[in-house]
Amino acid sequence: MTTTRRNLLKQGAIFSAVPLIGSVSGQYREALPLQPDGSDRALFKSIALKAVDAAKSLGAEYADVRITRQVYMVVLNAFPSEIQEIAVGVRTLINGYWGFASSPYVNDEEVVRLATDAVSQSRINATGRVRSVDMSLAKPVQGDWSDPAVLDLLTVSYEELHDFAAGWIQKVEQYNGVGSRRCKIVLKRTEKVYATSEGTVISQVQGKASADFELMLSNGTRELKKTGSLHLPLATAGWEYVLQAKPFEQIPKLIEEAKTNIGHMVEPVDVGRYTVVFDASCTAGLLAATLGPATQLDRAMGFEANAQGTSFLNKPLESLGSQSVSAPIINITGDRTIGKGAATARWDDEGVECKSFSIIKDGTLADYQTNREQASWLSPYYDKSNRETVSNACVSGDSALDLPMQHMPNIVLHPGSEDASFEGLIGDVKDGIAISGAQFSSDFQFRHGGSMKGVVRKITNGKLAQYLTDAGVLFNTEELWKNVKYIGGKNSSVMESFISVKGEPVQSSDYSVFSVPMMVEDVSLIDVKRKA
Amino acid sequence: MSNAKRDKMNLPIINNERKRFLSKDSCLRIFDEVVSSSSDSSASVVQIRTTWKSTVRWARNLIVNTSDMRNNNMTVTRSLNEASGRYSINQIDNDSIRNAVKYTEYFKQFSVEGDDFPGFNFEMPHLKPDIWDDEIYNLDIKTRNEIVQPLLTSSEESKMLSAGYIELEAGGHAVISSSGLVRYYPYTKAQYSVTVREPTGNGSGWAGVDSSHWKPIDTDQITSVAIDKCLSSLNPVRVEPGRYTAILEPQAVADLFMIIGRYFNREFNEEKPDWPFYLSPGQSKIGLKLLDERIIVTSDVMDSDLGGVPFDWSGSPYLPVKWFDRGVLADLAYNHSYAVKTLRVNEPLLDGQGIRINEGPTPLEEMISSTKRGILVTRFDRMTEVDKRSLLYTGFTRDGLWLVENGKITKAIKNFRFTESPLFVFNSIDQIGPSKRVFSPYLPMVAPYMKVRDFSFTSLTDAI
Repeated sequence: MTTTRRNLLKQGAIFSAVPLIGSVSGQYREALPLQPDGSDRALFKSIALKAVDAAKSLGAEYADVRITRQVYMVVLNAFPSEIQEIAVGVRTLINGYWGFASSPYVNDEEVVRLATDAVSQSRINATGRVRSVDMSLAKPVQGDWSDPAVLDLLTVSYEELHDFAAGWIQKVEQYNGVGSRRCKIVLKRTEKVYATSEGTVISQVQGKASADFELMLSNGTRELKKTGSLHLPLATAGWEYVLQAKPFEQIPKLIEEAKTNIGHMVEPVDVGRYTVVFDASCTAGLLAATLGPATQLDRAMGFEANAQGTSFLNKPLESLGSQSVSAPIINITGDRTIGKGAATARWDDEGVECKSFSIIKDGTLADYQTNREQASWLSPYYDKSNRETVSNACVSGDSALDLPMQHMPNIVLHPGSEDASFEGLIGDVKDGIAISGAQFSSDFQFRHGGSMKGVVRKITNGKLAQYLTDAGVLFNTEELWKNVKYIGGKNSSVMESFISVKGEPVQSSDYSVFSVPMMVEDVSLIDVKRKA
Repeated sequence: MSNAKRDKMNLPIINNERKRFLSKDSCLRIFDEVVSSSSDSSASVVQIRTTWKSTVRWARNLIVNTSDMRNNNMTVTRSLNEASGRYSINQIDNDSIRNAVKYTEYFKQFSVEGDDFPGFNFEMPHLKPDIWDDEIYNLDIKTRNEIVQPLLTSSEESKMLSAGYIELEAGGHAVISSSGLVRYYPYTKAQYSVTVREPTGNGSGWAGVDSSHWKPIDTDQITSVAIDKCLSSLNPVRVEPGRYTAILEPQAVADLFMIIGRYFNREFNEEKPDWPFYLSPGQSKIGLKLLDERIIVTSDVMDSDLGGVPFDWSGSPYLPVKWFDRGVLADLAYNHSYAVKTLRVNEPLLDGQGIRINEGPTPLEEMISSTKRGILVTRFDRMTEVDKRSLLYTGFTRDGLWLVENGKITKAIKNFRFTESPLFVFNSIDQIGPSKRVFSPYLPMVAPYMKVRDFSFTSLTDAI
């Protein structure tokens, strides 16, 4: 018999699989925080509305309440561990000032205390200088949504996860020459209930999954410490996401990959400017290190100045619709509706319906990532463009313990019209560089950055040639994106996932970048280990 | 929804305690509940971090938000016949605890050998650092706003924009085990940091500090430093990248040393050739001189400038340790399992407590006046690893960078990307100055001013 949480909940005898444990009382099902049948969703909604009513009765002009419940499971090699977290957060607005209080105690009495605390903060904050908050229009919504994950975390047995991971390790160890190996599977499940003083009452359930299967060949030399790896970026998905990747069938391929990573001739890097072809994962990394976060409106306006930094796109009303930030072939959208994206949801954490919105249109800055308050900052531009001033639905966060905040949506670099691949783009380069698997970082305004690690190879007459050691790129963000000559077609698109980190206190949120390979001219190639 | 079901969401285990975080008595009651819920004779350990956090955040000279956040993180670990299982929850009520216990018993079947079981009851002195401050706990929202408003005014009067943050925290760490270990320690801490920027983005200054007490946090003085740095960093000019004498403020020294502190794991440095303090199989570089002989680095929770809860998440005590003694790597950290199996000693040596780098005799003014051509650095940011073995990192300067020429600060300059190893930097020291507590909320640090030779600034950035 296999053990799932759903079984645990529905069948008191589930622990009969463990001889040390006796029968489980019927109370168990009632008590466990997770109620897969959704019966507690109504309870949470009623508690959320209780908090909203309390805040309104205390004088809040606007109030919203989030209740979140998360299960976070990690299977590291074959050892599963799990964390459950439940939280409620109440946010209020009075005279342009916010108050926020959160707690792990989700009950009527506690949420009234939180509402009282938040309202008190708003009132005291409002005794200072005048501040106005214009919450852009958001139609109140009611509804429930679950992501389309097939095998929800709650339906997967611990034994299956353990056996799968242990079996993969056992199979890998049967191959000669395999040294260390690593298997990490992450499954997350988040339930959210959200209610506002404007009449929105919604619930959402989202599952996320990621996995890394990695092996390393070894005979003790440094060169052999190269790996073959199967990386499944975090996705809005269930256990089926891992199964569909067929990690067992991939083992021979991973070993071959590891073998190709050893024994090849490497050359020192000849620094200079080259035409560089980035694979789709690298392009995703570049977006996550540059134009993605640079188009967050709070960063652009200085609200993150004391934390993660600001943005080079720091004059929104002057720049929108006119500032060229990339080659015309670049079109980037924010999209929290796209399948499997780590930031995908039906509504954001302000109850605004998620949508696809253009951030870079034909190379020109078209919009910023916003929440309801921030959207109104751009209303002169929207009015001028005959567009409605509405949020781009970018508020997210797994835990109601944290203040709701604008985070990254999924970012999509739209493929080119021609069906070019990474190899195809390489074929068009006579003398250049190809980079795959690199990581990128940039400064605190995303103006300049560089790459680390990754596989860097020469391109000679349209073919991959020598590997280069310690090579990386150095870039000015605007130059880099303006020098893009070609991008890959739709069949070359990949998804990579990242973590948006911002705020004080620091909070994080997952998002994906859907990207294609690209060819960029005049890129600086450097020796990353070379000092001045 | 039935009333009975609503009651399940309440908190009988702590009697609806309405303090901002769990008391020692509550943690003991939770442990009792764990034991009474257990169906066998497994050893039990309960680890709890219970916190209250209150914040004020502002930007563009206006308060943006405030918050009051409470949470409990509890992990139950149960072990029998060398198999252990653990489960973590934040919902503290009888039923949730009982269920967590059942999950741990279930997870025991997946236990891995060598997993370090927490809660070992060491017979060691219980240190009692002074890390509680009523002033932090009682600093209410009204008083905090009264502190913040003049800071906003001073930035506005300077025609600058400030963004800043105050965070107050109080809580308790508890580790209670069936082996008789009962550790609970309450603490407070506070942080204040502020960035002042010229409205068009042509200058930026930053200052900040954190402490377990409110008194050392002089908000007026810190704000004044940030404003001064902003005003004196306006309209920076380009200076060619290259190797420069660098005068590092304590924050910059701490930022660099933090890189070294990430690699204090003895076991890894004896087993992994790509670790920086690996010498040969089974041998680390302990005993070798790796840094300038003037460098002494210590950790001690009884250090009044550092403090810290005197035990870690597993309940193991933090003991005073000297990591570097006159430049010689004197010790590296190891856990209980490694202590017993490899070193044949019972006590672990933990990192993760505060760090003090010793000070020297040279005041900042003298460092500047004795410099023919150099660069004064406020702090570093966004540091990423290039090569672990040599600890080569790349990152950026941020929030105040000046050229020093012929003994004087002559101009504000544009920020640099650097490519450098702290092992090289702390071997190239010209002068060491007075030390002070810096801004390092996750690992308290005291660091000195330093003047170092040949710091490698590799390229320019226009970021301000």
